[in-house]
Amino acid sequence: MSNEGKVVIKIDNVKKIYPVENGEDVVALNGVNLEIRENEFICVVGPSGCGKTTLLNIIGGLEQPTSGEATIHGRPILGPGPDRGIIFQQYALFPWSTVKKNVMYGTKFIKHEVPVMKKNKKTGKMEQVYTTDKDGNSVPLMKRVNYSKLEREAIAQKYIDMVQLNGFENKYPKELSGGMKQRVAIARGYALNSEVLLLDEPFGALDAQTRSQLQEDLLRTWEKERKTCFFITHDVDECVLLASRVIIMSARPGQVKEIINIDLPYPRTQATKLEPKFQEYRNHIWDVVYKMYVDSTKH
Amino acid sequence: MAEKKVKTPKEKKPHGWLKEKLTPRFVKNHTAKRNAAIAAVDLTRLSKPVNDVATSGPKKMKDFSLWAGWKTALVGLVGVICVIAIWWLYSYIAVDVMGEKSWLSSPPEVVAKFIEMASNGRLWQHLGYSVQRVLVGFLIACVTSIPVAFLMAWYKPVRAFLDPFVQFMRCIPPLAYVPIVVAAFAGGEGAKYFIIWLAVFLTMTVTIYQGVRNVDLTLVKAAYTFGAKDRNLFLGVIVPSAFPFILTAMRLGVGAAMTTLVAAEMSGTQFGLGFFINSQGNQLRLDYCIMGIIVLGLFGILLDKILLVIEKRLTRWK
Repeated sequence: MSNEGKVVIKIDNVKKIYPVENGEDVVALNGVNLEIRENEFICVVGPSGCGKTTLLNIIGGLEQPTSGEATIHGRPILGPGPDRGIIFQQYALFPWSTVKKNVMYGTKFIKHEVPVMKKNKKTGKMEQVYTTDKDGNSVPLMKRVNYSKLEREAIAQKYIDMVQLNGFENKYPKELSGGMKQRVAIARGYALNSEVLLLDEPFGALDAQTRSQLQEDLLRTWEKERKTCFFITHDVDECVLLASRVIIMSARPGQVKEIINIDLPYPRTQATKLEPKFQEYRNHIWDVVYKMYVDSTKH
Repeated sequence: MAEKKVKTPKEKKPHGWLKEKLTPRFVKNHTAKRNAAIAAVDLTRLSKPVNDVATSGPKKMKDFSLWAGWKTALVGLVGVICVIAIWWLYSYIAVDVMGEKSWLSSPPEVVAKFIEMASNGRLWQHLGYSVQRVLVGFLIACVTSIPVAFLMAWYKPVRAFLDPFVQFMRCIPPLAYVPIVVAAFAGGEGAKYFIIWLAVFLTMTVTIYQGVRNVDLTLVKAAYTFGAKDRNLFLGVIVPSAFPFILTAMRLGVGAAMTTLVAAEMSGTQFGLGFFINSQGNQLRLDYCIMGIIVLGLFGILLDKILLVIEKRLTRWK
C-alpha cells in the first residue's frame, strides 16, 4: 500500500551541516532522500544523534537544509506553516491558557473559503454572489476568512472529546498530568487539520502505561482520519506498532539506512505485539539499530 | 592576464593556544600534579560506604512550604514587638547608662510625636506630597519601561544602543545626581518626578527585559507552526509569558521609588516625608525622624501588598 498514494512531502538529497567553531563541522544529515505519501504513517527510528529531529525540523520549516530541497506538493518548504502541524515532546502548551484556549489557538490563523453574500435590495434577503470562471461557467464567488470564534470553539470541543479530556476544558496545563498535557497537544495538532502531522518523540517523557494508552488512542484516531503522520521515536516496539512504513536512520552522518513496509493489518492494538509477524519486524529493526549502535561504540 | 597572487595559507593556530600561552607555569605544574594524584588513587582499596544510624540521612526532609497565614502574621508580630523592645531598652541604655554623648528617642516619645503631627494634619500634608511624587514617578516609569524593555528584547540594535546607558546608571546612587537634576529642572516638582522615575525605570527595564528573554523557545516554535506571524507571536506568546515578570518588576519598582524618595525630596522643597525625615534628622530631632521613617515604611508595605494581591489575581495559571 505504501507505493500508492500521492506524494505529499519529498525530501531530495537533503544535507544539514552545523558549523562548529574551532572544530570539525557536525554533519547531521548527509544526503537524505524520502517521499511521504498521503495517508501514510511513517515512523523514523535510529540511534540518538542520527538527525531524526533535524529531519523533522526541516520538514516543519523550523530549520533550512544546507543543501538539497524539501518540498510539499512540489512547493519548496521555506518556513513553518499550518499545513504541517508539529507535536513536540515537551508538549509546548501555553501555561497561561486553559485546555480549551490552547486547542483553539491551533485554529486561530487558519483561513478557509466561504461564499460571498450580498443583500438583494429588492427582496432584502442575503444572496450568494456568482462570478464566471475561465471556462465561462457561473461559479459562486468565494472569499478566504478566518474561522469565527464559535467555529473554533466547536472544532476545539470535537478534538478535546476525541482525546477524552471533556470536563478538563477550563483547567490550566499546570493542573494536568504529563499524559493529559500530551493529549491536549495532540488535540491541538489535530484541530489544525494540517496535511501532515509531525510528531517529535511525543511519548518519550511518559511512563509505560500512559504511553501504551496514548499509542492506542493515536492508532484509533489515525485509523479514523488517516491523516499523514511523520512520527519520530527511539522505541522499536512503538514504531512497529504504529507505522505503515518504518525508516531506519544511521548515525553520524545521518542517512536513511533501510525502509521497511510494515504489513500488519489495521486496526492494531497492544495485542498486535504478540503476533509472530510483529516479532519478526521488531527483531529485524532491533538488529539493524543495535548493530549500528555497537559499530558506533567500537571506535 | 595578470598572474593571480597565490596566497600562502597561514597556519591555523589550534583552539585555545592563547589561553595555553598565557597560563603561568606554576598553574600548569599544579594542574599536572593534581591530575597525576587523581590518576594515582587506587579505587580498589576504598572500603564500602559505611551505612549506620550516624551516616544515614535525616528522618524528615526539610519542609519548604509556608505556614498558614495567621501563624505567619502572629510570629511576624512577635518579631516586631521584639525589635521595638530592643529599641526601647537601648534608648534607656543610651541615655541613662552611656551618659550625655549618646541618646535615642524611645517608642513612647515617637508615638507622642505621631499623635501630635497626625492631629494637626502636618503629617498627612507631608505624606500627601510624597504619595503623589512616588505614584507619578512610578506610573511614568511603568509606561516608559515596559515598551523600552520589550523593544530592547525584540530589536537587537535597540538593546545594543541602550544597554551601556542602563548598566552605567544602575551603578550610580541617586543621591549622586540630585544636584545636577535640581540645576537642570530648576528644582521644581519635575526634578522629584525625574529622580524617582529614573530609579524605577532602570529597575523595571532590566527585570522586564530578562523576562522577555526568558520566553520558552518551544512555545515560539509552536506558535510559528500554527501560522502565527511575528505580530501574533509578540501579542500571543511574548507578552503573556513576560507578564509575570512585569508584575515582579512593578513590585521591585515600588521598592526603588520608596528608597529614592529621600534623595528626590532633597531637591528644594518644604514638603514631603523624605524632606521631613532628612531635615528633622539634620536637626537631631530623632523622635520626629523615626516617626517619619516608620510612616514611610508602612506606606511602602501597603503599596507592595496591593501589588502582591494584583499579582496573585492575574497570574493564577502559574
